[in-house]
Amino acid sequence: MSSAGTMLTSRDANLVSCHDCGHLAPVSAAHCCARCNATLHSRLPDSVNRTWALLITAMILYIPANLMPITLTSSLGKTQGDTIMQGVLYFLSHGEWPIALVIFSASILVPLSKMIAMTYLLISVQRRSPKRRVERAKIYRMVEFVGRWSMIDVFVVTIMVALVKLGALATIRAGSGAIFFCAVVIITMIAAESFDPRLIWDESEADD
Amino acid sequence: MAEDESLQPILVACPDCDLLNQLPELAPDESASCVRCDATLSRNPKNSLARGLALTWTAIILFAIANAFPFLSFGKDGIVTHSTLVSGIISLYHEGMYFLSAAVGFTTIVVPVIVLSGLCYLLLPLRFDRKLPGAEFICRWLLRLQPWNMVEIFLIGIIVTAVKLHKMADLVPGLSAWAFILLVFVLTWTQATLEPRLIWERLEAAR
Repeated sequence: MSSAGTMLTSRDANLVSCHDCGHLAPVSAAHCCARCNATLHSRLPDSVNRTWALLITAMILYIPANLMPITLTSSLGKTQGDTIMQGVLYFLSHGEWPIALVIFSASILVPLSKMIAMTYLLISVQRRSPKRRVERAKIYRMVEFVGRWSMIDVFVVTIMVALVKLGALATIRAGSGAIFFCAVVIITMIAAESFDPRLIWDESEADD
Repeated sequence: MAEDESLQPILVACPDCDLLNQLPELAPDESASCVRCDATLSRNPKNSLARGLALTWTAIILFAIANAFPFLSFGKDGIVTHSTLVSGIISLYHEGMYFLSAAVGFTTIVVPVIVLSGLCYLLLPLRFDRKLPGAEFICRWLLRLQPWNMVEIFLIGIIVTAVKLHKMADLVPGLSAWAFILLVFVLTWTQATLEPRLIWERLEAAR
C-alpha cells in the first residue's frame, strides 16, 4: 500500500473508536464511550502479549488433545479408546469420505492452520512488517470466522455419550482428549479475539 | 427514524485497520466496506428491526419446542435410549466431565437463551422508540457473545453422529430434532437481518 501515507487513521486524527458500538469520539480524559459506556482504547491493551500467551497455551494443550482418546467405547467387555485421527480413519475405512473430510477439516486442518496463521500474524506485527497487509487482514478475518467450527468433534462426542448407552452391547464415554481439544478450541477463539488487527497497519503511518 | 430509511452519511473508523472512512448515504439493502482492508463497515438491511423481532419470536418458540420434546432415539431389539437436547450435557456431568459439560451447555443452551431474551429486551421497546434500563450494556454483551452461540455447529455435529451411528442401530429423530433444524435456519437469518449500527443509532434516539 504505497498510498498509505495519504490515509488517515482515527489515531492520527486524535480520535478513538469504541470497540463495541463504533462510536467515534475525540481522545479525552473520559475512558468510557459516550454512547454505550464501554471502556475506550485506541488499541486493545497488551494485545500481542495476551495473544501469544493464549496461543502458546493452546499449542501445548493441542498435543494431549491429539494423543489421548476423545471417546472410550465399551462393547462386550472390551474398552477401546479412539483419538481424533482414528475417528477420521474410521470414516475413511467405511467409505464415508465426505464425513471424514468434515471431521479432518474441523478437527485437524482448522486448528493447525489457525495456530500457524496466528503465529505468522503475531511475528509479522512484532517485526512491524509492511508486507502483504491486505492479505494478512483477510487471514485474520478468516481465522476469526472459521475457528468456532472446530467444536464439531466436541458436540459429536456429547451426542454419542447421550445416545450410546446400550448396556453391555455398546456404551460410549468421553475421553480426556476431548477435554484438551475443547480447551484448545476455546483458548484459540479467545486468542483471536484478543489480537488487535489494527496492529497490522500501524507502523506505516508512523514511518510516513 | 422510520423503518426502511436510508442511513445517513457518517465518519467511521474501520474496526479492523483504524482507517477513517467517510461512508456515503446507504439506501436499504446497501452496504459499505473499508477502502483499505475491505472489512464490512455498515449495512442497511431492509426492515431490519421489525424482521429481527419477528425472527427472534420465532426462534424463541422453536427453541422451547427443541427443549421440550424427545430429540433423538437410538437403539435396537428393545434396548432404546431416548435423549433430549440436554441429555449429553447431563451425561457428561455425571461422568465427571464438568468442563466439557459446561462448555457444551454454555454454547448450545446458555448463550442462545441469553441472546434470544436479550434481543427481545432490546427490540420490543425499540418498536415504540423506547429503551429499558441497561439496554446499552445488554447490546454490548450480545455482540460479544455472538461467536459463542454455536447451535449451527451443533447441527453439523448431529449429522456427523447420525452417519457414524446409523449402522450400529436405529436412529430416530424426534419432534425436537426438526424444531432444532428450523431454529438453526431462523437464528442464521436473524443474524443476517440485524445490523449493530442500526440498533445503536435507534438506541441513541430512544427514550
